[in-house]
Amino acid sequence: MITRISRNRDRAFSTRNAVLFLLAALSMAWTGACLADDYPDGCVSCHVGDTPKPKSAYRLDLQLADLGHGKGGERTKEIPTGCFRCHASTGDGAAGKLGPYIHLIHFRGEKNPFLKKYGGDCSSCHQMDPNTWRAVAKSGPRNWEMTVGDTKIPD
Amino acid sequence: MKDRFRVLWAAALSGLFFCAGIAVADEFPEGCVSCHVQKIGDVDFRLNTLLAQIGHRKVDRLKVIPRDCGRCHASDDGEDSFTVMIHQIHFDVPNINLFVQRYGGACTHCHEVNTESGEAGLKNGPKNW
Repeated sequence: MITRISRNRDRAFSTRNAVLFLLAALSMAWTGACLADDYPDGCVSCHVGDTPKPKSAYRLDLQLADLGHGKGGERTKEIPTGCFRCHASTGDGAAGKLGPYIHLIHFRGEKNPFLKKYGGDCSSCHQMDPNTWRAVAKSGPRNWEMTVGDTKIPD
Repeated sequence: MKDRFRVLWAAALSGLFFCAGIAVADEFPEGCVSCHVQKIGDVDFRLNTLLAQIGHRKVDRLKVIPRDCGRCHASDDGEDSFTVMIHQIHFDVPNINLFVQRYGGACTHCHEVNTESGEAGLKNGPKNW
């Protein structure tokens, strides 16, 4: 009799522990999901998609080609760090400063998709550098391959 | 019965519009002084009070915050700049940092983009003390 009571108590204890463990695991997973950075590489984390419909061809090489931007954009390896070769943040480069131009594209107009769909969240593109305590642009490798004509050229 | 239904319908619509207004409005239009107010719980969170606690000289003469802080704190003075100090206060030790944990570390509480020039700048507001 005593053995049966003890066994039932053990089973209840382990069930309670299992429920507690499950709840803890779920809450940790939820916290992790909330803290995770959806756009760790900045521009290229968001600008994906190469389907032929104009509004879905969201990858930067396709968008730049559509604007008539030179081939330099396609050859750039790290985005947007490599863009600063021409678009220097000091304003001394061959082309205009990148920052104000990118801000206007992403913040101007009430129907701007960056504002409407992504909440105009600065941390999609920027992060705080804990060494210098300056806000910097996130950067990542380009998400397209170089092409000559229709031939893809490996890096 | 119909009247009650109409009243409920009107209340629901008003609630929706109210929520939409809240979602769109800038909760911190004046930057520092929009957040650092007299009462957050039982704490006087105004900047003059907080600065007095850390032994900062009196800031009674300032009129617009943080614009007038720039009289002494140059905005771009290397490691000791105002920018570096304010960023560190608001982002250091993120696990227990009030700005990160409670306000999501959102840049737009303090900064805004000028949609004419494209430059990101600071929000400003009159002192609240």
